[in-house]
Amino acid sequence: MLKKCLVILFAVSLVFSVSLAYAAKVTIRFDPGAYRPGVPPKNLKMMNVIIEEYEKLHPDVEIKLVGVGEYGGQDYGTWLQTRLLTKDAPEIFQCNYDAAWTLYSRGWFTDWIPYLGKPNPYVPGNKRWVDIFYPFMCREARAPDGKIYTVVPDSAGTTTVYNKDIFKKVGVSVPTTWGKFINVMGKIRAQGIIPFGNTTYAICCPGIHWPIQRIQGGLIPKELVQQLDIDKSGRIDVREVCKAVSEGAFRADLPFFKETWRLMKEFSKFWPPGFTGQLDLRQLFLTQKIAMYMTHTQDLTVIERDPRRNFEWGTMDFPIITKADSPLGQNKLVGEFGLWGGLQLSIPSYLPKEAKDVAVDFCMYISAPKQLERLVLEEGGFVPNVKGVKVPKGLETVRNPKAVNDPLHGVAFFGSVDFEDKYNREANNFLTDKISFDEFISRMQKIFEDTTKIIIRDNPEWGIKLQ
Amino acid sequence: MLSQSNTKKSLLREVWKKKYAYLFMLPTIILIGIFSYYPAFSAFYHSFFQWNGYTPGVYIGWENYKTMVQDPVLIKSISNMIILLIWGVILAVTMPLFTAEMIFWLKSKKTGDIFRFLFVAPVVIPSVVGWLVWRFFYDPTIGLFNTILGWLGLPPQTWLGDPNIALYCLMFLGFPWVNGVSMLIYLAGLQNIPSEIFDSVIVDGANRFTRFFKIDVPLIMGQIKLLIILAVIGSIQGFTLQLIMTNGGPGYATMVPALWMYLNGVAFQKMGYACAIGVSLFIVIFLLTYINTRYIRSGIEYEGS
Repeated sequence: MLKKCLVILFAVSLVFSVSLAYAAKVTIRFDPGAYRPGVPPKNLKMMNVIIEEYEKLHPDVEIKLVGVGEYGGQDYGTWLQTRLLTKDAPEIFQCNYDAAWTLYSRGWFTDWIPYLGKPNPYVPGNKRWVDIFYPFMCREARAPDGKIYTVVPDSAGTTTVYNKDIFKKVGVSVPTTWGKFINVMGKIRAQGIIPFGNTTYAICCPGIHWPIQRIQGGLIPKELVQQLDIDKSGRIDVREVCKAVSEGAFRADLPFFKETWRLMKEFSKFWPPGFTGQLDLRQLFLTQKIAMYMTHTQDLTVIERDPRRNFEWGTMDFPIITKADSPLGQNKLVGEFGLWGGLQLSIPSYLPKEAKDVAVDFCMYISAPKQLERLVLEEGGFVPNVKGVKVPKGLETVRNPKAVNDPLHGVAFFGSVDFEDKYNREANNFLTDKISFDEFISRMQKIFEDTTKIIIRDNPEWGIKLQ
Repeated sequence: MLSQSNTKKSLLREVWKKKYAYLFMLPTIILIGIFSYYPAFSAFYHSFFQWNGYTPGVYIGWENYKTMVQDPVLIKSISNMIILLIWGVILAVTMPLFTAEMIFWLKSKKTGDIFRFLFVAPVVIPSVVGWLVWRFFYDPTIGLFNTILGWLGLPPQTWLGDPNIALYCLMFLGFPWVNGVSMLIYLAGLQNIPSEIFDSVIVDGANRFTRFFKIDVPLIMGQIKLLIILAVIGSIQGFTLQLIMTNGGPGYATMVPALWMYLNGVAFQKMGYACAIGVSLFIVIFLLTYINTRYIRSGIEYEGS
C-alpha cells in the first residue's frame, strides 16, 4: 500500500515538475524577416540552427517563428498594426526603420537607446552593444524624435544589373554619364532589344521609387539640401519636409523636381511596353528580353543561381548626371544603400520586463558577429552593419564610399503610403501622356500640401503650421 | 390600446410556446448580429469620424461625406463603375441566357447534359486563377494577344498598361462571358416552363424569335430580375478584379469606388472616409435593388399549375 502511495506521489510530482518547467518557459515570437527558413527560391536554414543554439544556451526560452504574407507588403503592414493595437504582436517584429517613424507616435515601439548602451554578452569584451555596429547604423536609424525604434544588423542596396553578352553584341560599354546612357539605350533598342526594364505598376520595389532616387539625387542642389536638412543627418526626413512645404521652401515647381521628371520621361521611352502594368523584370532579364534593370542586392544571388540564365551579367553604377547632360546636374554618383536590411528589429513597448529582456537578449545574440556572419553569408543579399563580419560574395562594392544616397529618398520623403500611391498614379498619368507636364506639377503641388496638412494634423507636437 | 397589448401578449405567448426553436436559433442570431449587423452599424457610426482604424476617432460630422463629393478620384471611379455596371447587366441578361436557350433546345438530352457540364465545370476554378491567365494574355512583351496581332501584321498594344484601353481590357476579360451559375439559373427557369405551352406555340406557328421574346423571356423574368440584381450588386461592390489586374491603374483608369474604399481603409488608414464610401455604396445598392424589384415588373410570372 505504502509502495503504491509512493509511486503515485512520485508520478504526481513528476507531472507537476514537468508542467512547472514548461510553464516557466518564456516564449518569444520572432518574425525573422528575410531570413525566414524554408522559403523558395533560397530555402534558408541558418536561422533555425541559430535559434536551436540559443535555446540550448537558454533552456527556459522558446523562440517561435511567426509572420504573415510578404514582408514589407500591404498585408504585412495591416497585420502588424492590428497585432500591435491588440497588444498581440510578436515580441520581436520586423518594421522598416523609416516606416517606424510614422508609427512611433502611437507608442507601440521600444526605444533601443538604453539597451544599446549595455554590453552584449555574446561578444567577448564588449562594453556597449552599440560599439559592434558601424556608426552609420545608429545615425540613420534615429527617428525624428531622436530615438531609435529599430536595430538593423544588416543593410541592403540597389544596383543596376546588365547583360554583358547584349552589350558586347551591340558594341557598347558600360555608360558612366546620363548622355552616354541614353546613347547606349538607343543603340540597344535599335537591335530590337528593350534597353532598360522598369515598371511603374507599384511604387517599390521595383517601381518608380528607384529611378527617381538616382535622378533626383543627381539633381537636387546641395544648397537646398543644406537649407532643408535641419538636423544635418544627410537625409531630409518627414518633419523637415513638412516644415519646408508649409513654409513654401519645398514645392513641386522647384527646378530640380521638374528636371527630375523631364529626365524620367526621357528615360521611360526605353522601358518595356506597358511599363505601367505588372511586369516580371527578373524573368524578362533572364530570358534576355531586357538588357538592364535595377534591382535589390537580395536579387543578385537569385540571378546568379537561376538555371535559365545562359549569358554573362554584371552590375553597374547608375550614370552620373553631368552639367553637360542637364544644367542642374550635380556630377555626383548616386547610389542607394541603407538600413533596409533583412533584419529590422523592433520590440513592442507594452511587453512585460521579463519578456522584453529576453527579446533584447535574443536580438543581441543574432547581431553578434558569429551569428550574423552565418546568416548573411547564407542569404547572400545583405551587407552586415556589424564590424568584422564578412560581406557576401559579389556585394563587396555595394557599400560604395564614393556614392551618396538621395537625401529625399525617392518618393518616400513623407513616409506616407497615401502620398506615395497618389504620386505614383499621377506619375503614371504623366508618363503615359494622360496629363500634361504642367498639370502633373500642379497636381503634385496639391498632393504635397494635402499630405503635409494630414501629417502635421497627426503630429501636433511638431508645432508646424501650414502657412 | 387594449388590442395592442393583447397582440403583444399573444406574440410573447407564441414565442414562449416555441422557446426551444428560438433557443436553437439564438447562436445563429447572435453570430449574424456580431459579424453582419455590428460591422455595418459600426461603419455607419465611424463614417462621421476622422479615424485611422487603430486609435480612437475624432468626430467630424458630415466632413467625410463632403470630402467624397469633392474627391476627383471617387468621381472618376464612379464613372468607371457605371460603365462596368451597364456592361455587367448586359452580360448577365445575354450570354448565359443565349447559352441556356441553346442547351435547352438541343434535341439530344445527353448532348445537352455534356454542354451543361462543360459550361459549369470552370466554376470550380477560383476566378483569381483565370484572371492571372488573362493577365498573361495581356502581357505586352510575351503575351498571347500581342503575338496574335504580330501574326496579323498589326502593331502591338500595351493593353492593361494603357490608361485609354485598360478599362475595356477588364471588360473583355472572361470572353465569351458565359457564367456557369447564371446559365444554370436560366436553364432551370426554362425547364420549369410546362411543355404544353411550347406545344401550343408550335401549333400557333410562332417562330423561334417570337417564342423567345413572347414566351421564354416573360416566363423566366424572375430569374432575369435575380441575375440583374446580382450583377448590380457585384458591379458596385466588386473590386478584386481591379485589385489583382491593375490596382485601379494606370493612374486611376480602372479605379472603382469599392477599390478606392479598400485602399483608403486598408492602405491609407483613412478608415472613417472608407466607411463613408461604404455607407454610400450601400445606399446606392439598396436603391437600385428596390427600383429593380419595384418597377421592373415581370409581365407574366408563371406560377405553376
